[in-house]
Amino acid sequence: MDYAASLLTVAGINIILALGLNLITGYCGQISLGHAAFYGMGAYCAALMAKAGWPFFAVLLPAMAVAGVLGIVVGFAALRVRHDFLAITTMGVGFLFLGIVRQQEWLGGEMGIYNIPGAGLDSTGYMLLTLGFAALAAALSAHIKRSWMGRVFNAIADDEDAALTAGVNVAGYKLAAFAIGTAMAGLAGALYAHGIRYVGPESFGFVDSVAILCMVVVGGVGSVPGVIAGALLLTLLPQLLQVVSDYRLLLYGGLLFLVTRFSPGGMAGMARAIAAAAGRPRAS
Amino acid sequence: MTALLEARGICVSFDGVQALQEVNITVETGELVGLIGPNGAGKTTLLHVIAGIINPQRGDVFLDRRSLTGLSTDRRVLMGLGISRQLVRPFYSMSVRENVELAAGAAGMRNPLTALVRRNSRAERRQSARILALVGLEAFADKHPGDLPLGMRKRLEMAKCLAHKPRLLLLDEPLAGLPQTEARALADTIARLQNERSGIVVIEHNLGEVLRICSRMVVMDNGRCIKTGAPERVMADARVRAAYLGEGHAGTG
Repeated sequence: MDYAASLLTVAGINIILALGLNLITGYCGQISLGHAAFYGMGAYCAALMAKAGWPFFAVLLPAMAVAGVLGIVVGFAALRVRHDFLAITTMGVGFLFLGIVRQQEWLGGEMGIYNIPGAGLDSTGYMLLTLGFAALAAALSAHIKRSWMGRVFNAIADDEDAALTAGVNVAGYKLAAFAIGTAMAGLAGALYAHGIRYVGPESFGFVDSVAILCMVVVGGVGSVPGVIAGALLLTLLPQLLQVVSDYRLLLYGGLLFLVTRFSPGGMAGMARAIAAAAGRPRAS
Repeated sequence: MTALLEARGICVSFDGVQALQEVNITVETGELVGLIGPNGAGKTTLLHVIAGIINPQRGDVFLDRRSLTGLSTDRRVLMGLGISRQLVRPFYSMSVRENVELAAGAAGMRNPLTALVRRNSRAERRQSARILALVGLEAFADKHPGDLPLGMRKRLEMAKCLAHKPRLLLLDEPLAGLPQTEARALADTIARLQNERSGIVVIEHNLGEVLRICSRMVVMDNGRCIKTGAPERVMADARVRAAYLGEGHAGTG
């Protein structure tokens, strides 16, 4: 039971991460290759506060705030650069984060931070709590998609220049996407720190950013159920099949290639195509 | 009449090439101004400067005596500019109605937090229905822009501009690529949009239609304004004929 609970806890954390990135990349069209850095910021913030004696629930909001504020700072870069330049900039943010963390004694350097106090729940309780937060993240994502904000994100992802001439506050909405998406990563980081009770730089590297992006792309960019399915698949598959775990990077690369080549809409796109072929129209 | 738009001393250069040299242009309320000139004259560059898409090296732009200098395009739109660019760029992921609704709601939804809690779009829907009828697109409201022919997409671009109730409409080659009957119908629609409280600037190569609908012409050549005035007087000017039709035509007709 403990193994299953911890596995589902990690799945819940990954769902929150992937939904956060989906907001930035899927909804608003801003590519980010540094999402793991915000995950790490939330995790380190929670770890330090928990070690200083702060109770679990008091740590969550500050972890989200730290990641969200730094997300806004990076969002300002998104106001200056677009597309592949933004991808490179956000990748740089990821490396910058790791470079700083590795050099700082007070952040544990290469060794990371150990013995982080737990949340005071058993593994099943913590799993349920994490899945509860994942459900909230999904509900927020679905709400945004249906709200006016979702409509504006859609327009910006569609054509940023056309959005400007339509009078849309493109800068404000881009910053909002970064703030909400990275705050969600901060929450995921805090849940990780208290769940694993250790944070180290190796968990928040470039490969982790690519893994999160992979969950979004494989699941279906912009689709909430698709991204949840993508996060579940890419979390559970390596855990259940040892061979997949050994070739994790190969799996991510291969899946990204196959999905972009054969089903750009990801699993959600495939489901829609199958439903359409079966003559049962289904809402996205 | 009072000056609705005033652009003073606009200078723009790209990699040392002077695209606009000390350009001055004024548009009064109630005017429909045709901005013409040969390819490369600087017409679109001037329109982009007014719209805030290009920042000039020198010069200022005023709308209703308020300076637009340094403001982003979206802010200028909210201050009363309607911008329709040369290439039609609707939001292809939305229906025609949603395209116009988005533009109609842009002013009230400046704050993303407001947009986060807002789901219905009743006011914008009413506004978009009115504008779609104005440009003759009401029958296509639920279609997707990708399914519409070019002429209809051009009307959609215009509808998006009108959603803000602009004081000054800037139209860059709205008739380009349209067959003559459609061009004529769209030119009539543009002429109908003209009223005493606003102004329209239209860049157009279809001289016949421009001469028919415009109340005043501004002619540009080599980054300068070379002539302005009533259409028939402007077209009779030797310099304009030389610039537009080539030196050989300068003295004829």
